[in-house]
Amino acid sequence: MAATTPTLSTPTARGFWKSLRGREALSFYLFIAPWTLGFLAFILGPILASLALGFTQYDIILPAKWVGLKNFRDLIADPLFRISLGNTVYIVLMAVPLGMVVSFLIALLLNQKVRGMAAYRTGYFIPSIVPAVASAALWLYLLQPQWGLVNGFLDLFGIKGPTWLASTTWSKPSIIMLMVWASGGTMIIYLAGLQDIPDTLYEAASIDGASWLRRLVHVTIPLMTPTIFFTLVMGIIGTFQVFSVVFVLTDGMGGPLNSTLVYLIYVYRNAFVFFRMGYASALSLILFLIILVLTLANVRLAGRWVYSEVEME
Amino acid sequence: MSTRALSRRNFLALSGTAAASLVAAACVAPEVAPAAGEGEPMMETIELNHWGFSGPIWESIWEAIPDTYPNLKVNPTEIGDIVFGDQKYLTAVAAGTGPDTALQGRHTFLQFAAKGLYYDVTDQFDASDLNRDDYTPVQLNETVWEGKIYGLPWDTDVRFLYWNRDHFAEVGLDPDQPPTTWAELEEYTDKLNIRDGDEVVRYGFVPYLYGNSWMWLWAFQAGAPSLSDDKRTVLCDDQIWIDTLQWLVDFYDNYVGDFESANSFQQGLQSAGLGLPFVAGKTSMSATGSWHVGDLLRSPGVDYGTAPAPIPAGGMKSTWSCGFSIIMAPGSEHPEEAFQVMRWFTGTPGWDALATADVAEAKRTWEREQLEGDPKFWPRLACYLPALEHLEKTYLPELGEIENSTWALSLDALRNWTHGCGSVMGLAALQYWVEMDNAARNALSKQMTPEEAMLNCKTLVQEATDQAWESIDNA
Repeated sequence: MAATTPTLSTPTARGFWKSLRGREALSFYLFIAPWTLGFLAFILGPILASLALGFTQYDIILPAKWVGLKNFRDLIADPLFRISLGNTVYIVLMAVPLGMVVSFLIALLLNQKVRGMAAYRTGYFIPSIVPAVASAALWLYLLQPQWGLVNGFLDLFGIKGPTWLASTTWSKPSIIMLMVWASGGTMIIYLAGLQDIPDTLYEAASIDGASWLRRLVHVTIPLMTPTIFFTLVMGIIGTFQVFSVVFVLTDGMGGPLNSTLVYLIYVYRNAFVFFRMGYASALSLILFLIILVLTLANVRLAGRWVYSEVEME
Repeated sequence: MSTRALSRRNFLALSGTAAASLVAAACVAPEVAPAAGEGEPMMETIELNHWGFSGPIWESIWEAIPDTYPNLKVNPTEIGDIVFGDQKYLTAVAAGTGPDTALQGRHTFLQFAAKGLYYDVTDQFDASDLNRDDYTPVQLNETVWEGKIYGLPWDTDVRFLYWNRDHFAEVGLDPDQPPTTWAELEEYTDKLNIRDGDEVVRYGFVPYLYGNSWMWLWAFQAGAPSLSDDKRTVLCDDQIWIDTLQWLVDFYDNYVGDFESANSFQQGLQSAGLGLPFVAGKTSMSATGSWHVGDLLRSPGVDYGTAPAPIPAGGMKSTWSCGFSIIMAPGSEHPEEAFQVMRWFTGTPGWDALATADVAEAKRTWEREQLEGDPKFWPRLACYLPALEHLEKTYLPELGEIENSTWALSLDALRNWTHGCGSVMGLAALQYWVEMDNAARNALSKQMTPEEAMLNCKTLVQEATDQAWESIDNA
């Protein structure tokens, strides 16, 4: 009898799902199921195939031919590989910190208790949900050299604006501007992080005579470091993969004169314009390794500056 | 005993099974043709999938095919860019899910035909009522790979010089005398340029950037070769190419100015809704294609003339043509009917259906844009000669003197002095096109010397050409 009687320490499967822990586990699996199913059905196979194709010469039509490390040797000698990687690193170095600082400052402003705050928050968030194609088309008009609003505004101060997307000097800054403009998603994450900081800490700091700036430096920023860390990692990963905006702004060419030839445009060009799938896969593999190394480095360095109530290794 | 009813491993296994089921469910089982039986109609309607342009004009064209073939129904689908690359077509054919027929740009025709992406229709062509001399020879030749016909050429174009007669008169040039040499082109451009301080009011002529000449037009006039006879050696490092690019660079230095400024001037006109520079009166001459007559018909204020583009000293009258061909995809389940569609589409009935739809569209355009005068229609250049003749007889009498003389100029070029874009670019046509453009832009914006730019083009395109031939030789 005793053997068949369930005890508290050995709950049945049915009992488990009724327990708090079981319900949490069920929610967890249900929430991750759509992504997991999609990943297994549509993404895992191409990833594995791409890893293998990186070592082949493959034009989609004829069978893939094993070429060993040839694609990777070709990469080293390929000037467009260096140009595209250089352009992408430039955009990452500029757009990620700039986007984070601007988003953080806006989040600080939007964290104030003033009337109509919901409208302001919505206004700043809207650019991030505008589809990439629509925002690129909008910026094409804004940055139009002769009649665009940006140069029209500069003209008010007697400044002759540059030719923006038609200029090899200004094309990358144009793209960075667009990306910073559309960083409302980061702003919302910061806003959520700011609202998680307990008021008691600010009260204690105020009682100790801390000014607004000292409260920002010694309370807000340290407590925001986990959020900042998250946006930094995701920003680097996402910006290395910038594609659609540049594709629309430059008609898929990465011009003028390859000045906006970002890495994924070059991957796309090799894969779907020149049908060099093997070479494109090798390029993708290199990008994967770059992002992996940077992410690991970020995680490793996080312990030095990210404040956490749970100790980080 | 584990307290976890669903382990991570089990969850992943379940997810994997579900995902596999999802994929399996997404794969449509091949349809089984119904067995013929009593009571069924004698003629079964056969539906064919065609990939190319879409929209109301194209739907109305395909709706006309049952007038000739009552048992055929064509479902058109637009698949985006079909001038270069046509990624969807290639990937679909590789996956065995291609259409029955498709329009394909002639730039890449040989590149794709050589890879087996098009069905060999030689036998059907020879068994049909068609003769090889029914087509414009350059364009038919571009559908032939190693003696086999892989498609039927549909439309084409030619490029030449347009000049604004009013602008010529305004600066004291004879409105009836266009420049005929590069030296005259420079002299006329200098006279026609108008600047207000640093600001450009009007360009006399902007080669390369404005219009549709690319570097090919100028280099062909100078006699530049693009490929060796066996199509294995890329010749864009030939001294004639370098000299041609040097001439373009000098032309910008002396008569156009900064490359970026000229580019943004044109972009500015377009984003302000003023259209192309020649139509907007912002350039006095333009080297562009025969289709431009259609743009000018909608802008009756421009009094213009057309002539072969000016040639260099010791050069030759020359131009280049492109356009589309219709092909049958390998794997079509209805090859006989698909060839009927190709034949109909490139033949007089197909062109008639298109012209009827285009005329109706012209009427709508005149109403919508409140244009002056009666709606006018400029036919495309058909490659099938009886259709070309039919279009000429039907629509040219309704047009004016300049349109008729431009039509005659186009036909003369097609018959006597044009190059086909497909045959000059070979088996790495996409790379050749892109790298030639990069070479010109690099030199015109002073990033490279003309020699460096053309040598760079040679290196990259030769590598791609070698790879293409290696695949063919090893197949």
